[in-house]
Amino acid sequence: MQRKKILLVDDSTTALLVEQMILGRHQYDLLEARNGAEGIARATAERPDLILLDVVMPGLDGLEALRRLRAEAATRDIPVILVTSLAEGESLESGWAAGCSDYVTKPVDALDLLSKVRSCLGQ
Amino acid sequence: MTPRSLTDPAALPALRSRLANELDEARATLAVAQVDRERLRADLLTLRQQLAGACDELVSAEDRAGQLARQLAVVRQLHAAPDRGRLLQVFREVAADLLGAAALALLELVEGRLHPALAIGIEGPDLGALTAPDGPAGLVLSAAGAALRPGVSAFEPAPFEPAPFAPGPCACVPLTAAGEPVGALVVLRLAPHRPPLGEDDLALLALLGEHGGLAWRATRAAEAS
Repeated sequence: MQRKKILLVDDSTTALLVEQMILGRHQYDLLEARNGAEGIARATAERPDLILLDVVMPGLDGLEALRRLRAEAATRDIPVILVTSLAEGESLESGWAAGCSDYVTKPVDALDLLSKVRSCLGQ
Repeated sequence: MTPRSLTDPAALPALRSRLANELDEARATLAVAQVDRERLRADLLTLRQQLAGACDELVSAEDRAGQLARQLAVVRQLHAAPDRGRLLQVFREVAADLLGAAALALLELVEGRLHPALAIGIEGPDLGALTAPDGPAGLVLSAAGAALRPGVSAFEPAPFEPAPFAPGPCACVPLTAAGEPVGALVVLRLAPHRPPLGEDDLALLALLGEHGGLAWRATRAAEAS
């Protein structure tokens, strides 16, 4: 079976490292980007099966990056899980409106993350 | 055409006997099948229980792996920080992303006094009060052990009263290098969605205190040289 490719987008290297450690044990190919603009560029070039997108990032934030991903034919259908520090409120509403597939909250719970990743990948 | 045995009265006893034998055999077969069925049901139940147990173990192992990933990430990030600026960023990331802290202060011990090196969500007099010798950080440093606010966790009661810091720090951990205090990390408030700190968080805080203190001293030494 072909390994699924997941793009991790977060400006926090610590958060990225933890996500890599959690997902890296499960036969996924992991890519990373450090901000929204880099995330869009990598998503367009690599066509991952799933994107984990941090909401709060300097420059192009996760919500705007999500809107741009949804506006492009090449990335429109890639499932996106938002990674947010907020369990509720405006960012999540905006995230749903922008077309996110699901969300996880920081601090990321390994079981929650794995469950939602598998669900989004249809596993 | 009707079989002769059904029309011949003389053949009926033999037929009845044969049918009775066949019925007995069928009943015996059915009894064996019922025993088999009960055995298979019991086996199925056992397998289901084993599967449930294996699932619980898997979930537990995944959860444990997640906690270890957090700890490993903290240690790697702290010791990979090349300078004080990056180290402060690591503290900020760990507190926000791995502990879910919404407000925190990192206090440095210089010549016996605490000075703020990093403050998020606290400023002015509140921050000043935090650095007082009889504040939570000072008390925790003198007690040389991490503390959590009473009611936040089932762990050891904090050696400080949270009254001056409404609603009080969630956690306070001394930063130490080779057993000597170099500062303290105070988590003042958690993100609203964040559940209370638990055992895994305490382990992470202890690790942060130990390795954070070493990393802090190392960057200080690098700056001095």
